[in-house]
Amino acid sequence: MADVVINRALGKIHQYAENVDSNSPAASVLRMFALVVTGGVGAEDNAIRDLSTMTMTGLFALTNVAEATNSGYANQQMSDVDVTITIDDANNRVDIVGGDQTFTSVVAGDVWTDLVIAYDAAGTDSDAATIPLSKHDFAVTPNGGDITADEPVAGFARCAG
Amino acid sequence: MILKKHFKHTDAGETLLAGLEFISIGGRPKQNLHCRQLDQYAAQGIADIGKTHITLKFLNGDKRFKIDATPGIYCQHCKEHFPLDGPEVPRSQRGQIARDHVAEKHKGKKSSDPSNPSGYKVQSYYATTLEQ
Repeated sequence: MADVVINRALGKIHQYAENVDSNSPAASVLRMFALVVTGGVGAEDNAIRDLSTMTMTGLFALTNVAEATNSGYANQQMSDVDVTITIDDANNRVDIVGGDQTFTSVVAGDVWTDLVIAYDAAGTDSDAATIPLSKHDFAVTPNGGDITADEPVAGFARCAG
Repeated sequence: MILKKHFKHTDAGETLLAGLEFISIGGRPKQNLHCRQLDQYAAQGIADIGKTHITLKFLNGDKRFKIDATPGIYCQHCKEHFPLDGPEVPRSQRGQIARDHVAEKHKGKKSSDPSNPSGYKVQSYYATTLEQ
C-alpha cells in the first residue's frame, strides 16, 4: 500500500487506474520506477509529494532523487489486463491492484530506497508525460538476482471517501 | 476488471463478505489473475482454479476464464517456461535457471521486452481470457 500519495494524484488514482483498465486512451499504462534517494527511505517524501511529472523538471529534478541506473534495470509496465479495481461500498473505498512486479537480473550498483507508481497516458515511457501517483518505501540492495515488489492483497493504492 | 464487494451483517453484529459483484472486464476480455488475489478468492470460496480454466463465482453469475499462460518464468526469446515453485525449482534458484538458459541459448541477443532487458520475465499471475 502507498506510503505517499502524490498531491497531483489525490482523488484521481482511481480514475487513472480505470483509464488503464478500460484502454482509454488505448495505450495507457501504469509504470513502476525504482528510486535512489540520498538520505534513505522516506527522506524526500515531502518533496516527492509535490511533483507533477517524472521529468527532469519534476521528480527527477530533485537534487537527492534519481531513477535507479543499475544494469538490467528497467521500469515495469502494468496494462489493462493487470489492473483490478474493487469497490467497497461498506467501507466507502476503492482498492487498486496492479500485481507483483519483478525486476529481473538487476546488477549491483545503486542501492534502491523507494518505488513510484506512475500513470503514462500515451504509453510511450516519456518522463514529461508520466504522472507520479504513489510512492512506496522499498529498501533493496541489488546483487544480480531478481527483485520482486510484493503487492498486498488489497493492492498498491486505496482511495477513500 | 472492476468488481464490487458486498457484505452481510450477522445477528451478532459482525460484517462479513457476502461476495463480489462483477462490474466489467475492462478494455479487452483478457485479464491477468494475480496469484495472491486468487489465493484469497479461493479461500473465500469465490475462485475455482482448474487445469485449463479458472471460474470466479460472482454474486451476479459465474465467469469462466480460459488459462492462456500459468505463473512462471518465461524466456522472452523462445517463450520456454520454467515453473515458479516446486521441488525441482526452489524459489531461490529460479532466476539463476533462467539466466543460465538465456546465456546458453540466446547469448548476445537483445530482449524483445523493454521491461525485462535480462531476456526473461517473472510472471506471478495466470494470463486468462474471459469466455462468458
